[in-house]
Amino acid sequence: MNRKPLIVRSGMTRRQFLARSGALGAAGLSLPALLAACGGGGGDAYDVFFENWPLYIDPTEGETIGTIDRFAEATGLTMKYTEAYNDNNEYFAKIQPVLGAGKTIDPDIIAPTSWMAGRLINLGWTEKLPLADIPNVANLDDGFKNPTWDPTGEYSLPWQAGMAGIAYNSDAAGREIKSVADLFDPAFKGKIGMLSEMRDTIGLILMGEGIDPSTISTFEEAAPAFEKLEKAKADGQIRAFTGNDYTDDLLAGNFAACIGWSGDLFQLETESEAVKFVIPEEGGTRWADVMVIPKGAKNIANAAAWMNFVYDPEQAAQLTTYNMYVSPVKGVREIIAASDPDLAENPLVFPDEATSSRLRAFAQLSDEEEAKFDEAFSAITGA
Amino acid sequence: MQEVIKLEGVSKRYGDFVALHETSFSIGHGEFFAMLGPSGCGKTTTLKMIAGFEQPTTGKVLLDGADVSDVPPYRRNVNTVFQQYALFPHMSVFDNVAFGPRSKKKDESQVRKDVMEMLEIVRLADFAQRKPSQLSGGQQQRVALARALVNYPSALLLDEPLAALDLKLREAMQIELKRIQREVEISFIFVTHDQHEALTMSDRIAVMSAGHVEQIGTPEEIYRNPSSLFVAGFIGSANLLAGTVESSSGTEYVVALKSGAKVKVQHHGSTFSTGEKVSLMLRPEALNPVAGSRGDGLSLGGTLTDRVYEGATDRLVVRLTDGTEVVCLTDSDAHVAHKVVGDSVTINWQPQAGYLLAGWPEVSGSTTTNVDQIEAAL
Amino acid sequence: MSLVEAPAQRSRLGSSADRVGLAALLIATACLVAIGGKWVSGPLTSVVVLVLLAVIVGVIVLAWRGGTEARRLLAPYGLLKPGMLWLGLFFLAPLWSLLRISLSTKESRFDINYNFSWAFENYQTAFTEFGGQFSRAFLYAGIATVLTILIGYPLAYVIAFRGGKYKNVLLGLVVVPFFTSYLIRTIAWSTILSDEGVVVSFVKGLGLVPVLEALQIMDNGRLLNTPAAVIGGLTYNFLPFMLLPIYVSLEKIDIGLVNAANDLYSTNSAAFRKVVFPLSMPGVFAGTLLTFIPAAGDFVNAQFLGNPNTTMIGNSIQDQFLRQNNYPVASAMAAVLMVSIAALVLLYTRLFGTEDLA
Repeated sequence: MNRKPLIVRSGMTRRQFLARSGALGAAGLSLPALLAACGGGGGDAYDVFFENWPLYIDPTEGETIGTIDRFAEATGLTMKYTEAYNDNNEYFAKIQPVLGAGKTIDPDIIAPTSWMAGRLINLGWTEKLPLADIPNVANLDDGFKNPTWDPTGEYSLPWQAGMAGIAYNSDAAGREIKSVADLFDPAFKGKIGMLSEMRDTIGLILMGEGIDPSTISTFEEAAPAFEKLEKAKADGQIRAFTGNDYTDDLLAGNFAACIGWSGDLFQLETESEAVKFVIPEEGGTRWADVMVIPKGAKNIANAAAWMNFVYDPEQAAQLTTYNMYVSPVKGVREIIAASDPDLAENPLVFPDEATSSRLRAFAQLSDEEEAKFDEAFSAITGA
Repeated sequence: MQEVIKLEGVSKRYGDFVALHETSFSIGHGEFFAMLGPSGCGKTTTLKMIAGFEQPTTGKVLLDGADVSDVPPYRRNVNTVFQQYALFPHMSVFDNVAFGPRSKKKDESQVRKDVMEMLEIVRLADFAQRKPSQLSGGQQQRVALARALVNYPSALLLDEPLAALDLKLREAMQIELKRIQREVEISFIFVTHDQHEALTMSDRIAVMSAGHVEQIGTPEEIYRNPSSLFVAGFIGSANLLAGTVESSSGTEYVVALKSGAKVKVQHHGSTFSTGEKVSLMLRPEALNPVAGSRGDGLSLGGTLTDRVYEGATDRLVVRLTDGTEVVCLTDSDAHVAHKVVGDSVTINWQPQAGYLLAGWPEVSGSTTTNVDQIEAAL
Repeated sequence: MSLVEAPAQRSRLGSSADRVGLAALLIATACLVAIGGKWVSGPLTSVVVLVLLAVIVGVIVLAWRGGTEARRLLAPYGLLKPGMLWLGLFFLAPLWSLLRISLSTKESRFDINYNFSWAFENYQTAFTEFGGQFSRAFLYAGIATVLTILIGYPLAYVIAFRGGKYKNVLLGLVVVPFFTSYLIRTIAWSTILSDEGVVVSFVKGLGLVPVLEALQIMDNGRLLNTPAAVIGGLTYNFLPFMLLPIYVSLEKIDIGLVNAANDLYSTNSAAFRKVVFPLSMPGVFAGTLLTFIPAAGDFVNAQFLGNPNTTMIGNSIQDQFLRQNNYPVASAMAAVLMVSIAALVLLYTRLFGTEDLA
């Protein structure tokens, strides 16, 4: 695997952007300057408005026409696209007073992580998708059908998916890291990073404990993972709970090992050969960011046109070549195989049976149980 | 007279600028000594060198006979009353005055006694617990005085101590200062640009100009026998008339003024040769305006151009025939009382009233009517 | 109490103007708090707004009809209005709202409505669950404040008394880094202090690691993500807030006072101790407040330079507000923080108050 980083462009990488904006977002500040710098949506006149995570979509650059422009060409619809979705909990805190009061927010489509989508669906804050107007939904990969967060599949369509595993710096670690247990090796005291995203961290520790995170339904079942994490924190094993900026600490050697996301690997390995990503022996977790239409959205038909467009395998393939995440669209692999056989064989982008069997998604939790998880996790992260 | 302070060949340079040329003089015990001159004349620099805030470039400063040129201020037995008093705003009057004795690690009961005694002398015993900001200017001035005097220094240095006070208060404080000085019997070295203040208070005055000491002497010596045109002009008011020595015999001189008039002068002290450029100094109070011409070499004719009533005296401005303006002070009820502006008058004087100085003044006439000249001197 | 300074003695008109003015102010403030704090709702809101307008218009009419004298007497109250509006809208109303929410409960986690129910258990939670973060916040902020004095005072002293013509340049140099965002500066420190970074390599090269570990500045061979890094970050970030007030108070000190102390047999160090330092106390006092208060509520330094065992109360409040959606407990924590800081400041003022200083 010696791919050039397609993600590097305009002098700012996805990773750098996330590190920066994650920091700002975490500090509870707004991002007008950064967003202005990134461009995104046009003026006020638009036919559909998509608010997504940063650097998740291919821009028009030179010969390559970006997805938004191809969409406009194909349908005649103008899309306003912003990158203000930075953190599930913070975004929720922002929209809660609006949607909770029965008012509408501006975006017609947002792409929360699946569990958050599940929460929004349960709260009744999302619209049913007009699936009849989205014939390409037939291209949805079987693995994503009838998901836990949206059992009937009527409210959401996955945008991109990925997996969480262990990223490590072989220079700082001094050896190969293979298992979740390695994260708790006292030799790495103060050199271990965990994610502030509860499901990624607890999910992986649960895998390490031999508990399947996709089947748990109560806090008690997950308690061993919390105890393990609590003890590691008290012992000073854990250096920090981070967001996307874990990659900085990893590259700087501050982290010997940490929990990380598969999509970052491509960027990281271009910056340092010492950085590696593994799905641990005990198995990893899987996640998806999914598109939903917030309740009362004004342009539902146009949102459906967009979803239909990006579920065309040709279009989806171009997105994958750009952002290196797991596509939920059938047929993408075949299209990419024709132009880039190496990428088509990469199990982190196209998980094979062996890889898939080792991945578990975090169960959809009830409100009461989720509150217990969040509270316990917050008590450990100390924030 | 016992010498308290002695300057031996002291000079001070700041880079290329000479603040004080080599100077030597001494000040005796219990003397009230004024350093008088316009700003920039070097008087404050001299004071700072005595206090120890500045080190002389050359020469020595002796205090009670010992060379203190390199001794820091806090180990010199002199104290200063600063121009803006420099009272410690966060301390009471008592603590301000006690600052010196406490620094000297005196016994606290002794400090209390000394401080109260000194506050009695400056009549501020009732204000001991006040903060300086709660006192009037004159009271602050007296605290500054007490704070310095309580240490019973060999000499007290005062840097324009009355400059910040208004006229009435200043005059009262002049008397008060003299009283206190007599009471404590300490040498006062007093820096001022106010010649009136220097004349009324001092035992001796050093008149300074542009880094030089022009003359040292008692007020009377300096007033009557100034050593230079500068001193004559700076001390009191003077009419200076340019002329040339035409003849002399003993102390009798005949001087031809620039206007052509010839005057007789009885001059003691320095001698002048025939043909030498001289200035005739006539103090305003020595001039009497009279009616009509006299032609005796002790009078000059002119026109009355201004007349100012000043209570006990009249201040008359007379324009001489060559245009030079002179000022005379005369009794209000003198026999020229009926003269009005525009009348012709003659001024005359006693033979010993005239005084000769080497050189010509920049502008002939009174030193008190030319605004530019006065400003330049300040 | 009179806001109007009467030239000679209080006229009857004057005292009644005071009563009218004060009453108007109090009513207007109450109205603002009621509106801002969502005390009233529905049609009652319009009633309150009407009362507010009536009071304002009433005072204006009174002043206008009452002639010059009444206008003069009522004018100060008119001038206070903008300030009162500001205070009411942006301080009193939010404060009221905060206190209300801190005593409220929610039916479910994602409920947007709060039921005011004198829920003191929120305060109990704040103390029991976050006691560690509270004490850490005050400890770190306290140490950082002392360090800013130790670093800032000599610096301010040198600039004020030895800066000469470079005074402004030096002050500029102190302030210039602070044109950069607070966050960027803090994050920059995490790069500087990182394990493979310049500082750690340098310290390792000098063999000072055991010394620094003994001093609890380093932990397990690292500088970053330690309590020392958090305190260091606070110290760095708040240094100007200490330095500038000290500089201002030192700058005001007449150098003649030092000369006077020298003249009165004090060495330079004694002059500093007895004159300069006491006179600069107002600056130290102001600097301490400006440093300690925001430092105690800070969360940025702990987030980027600390570890999970060094979180401060600011982090917890932020997490409870923005991630856990737990407004009641977050409000209770904010209220406790505010009250404890106010109490500390009051105590500090009592102990070191400088109001009797000229």
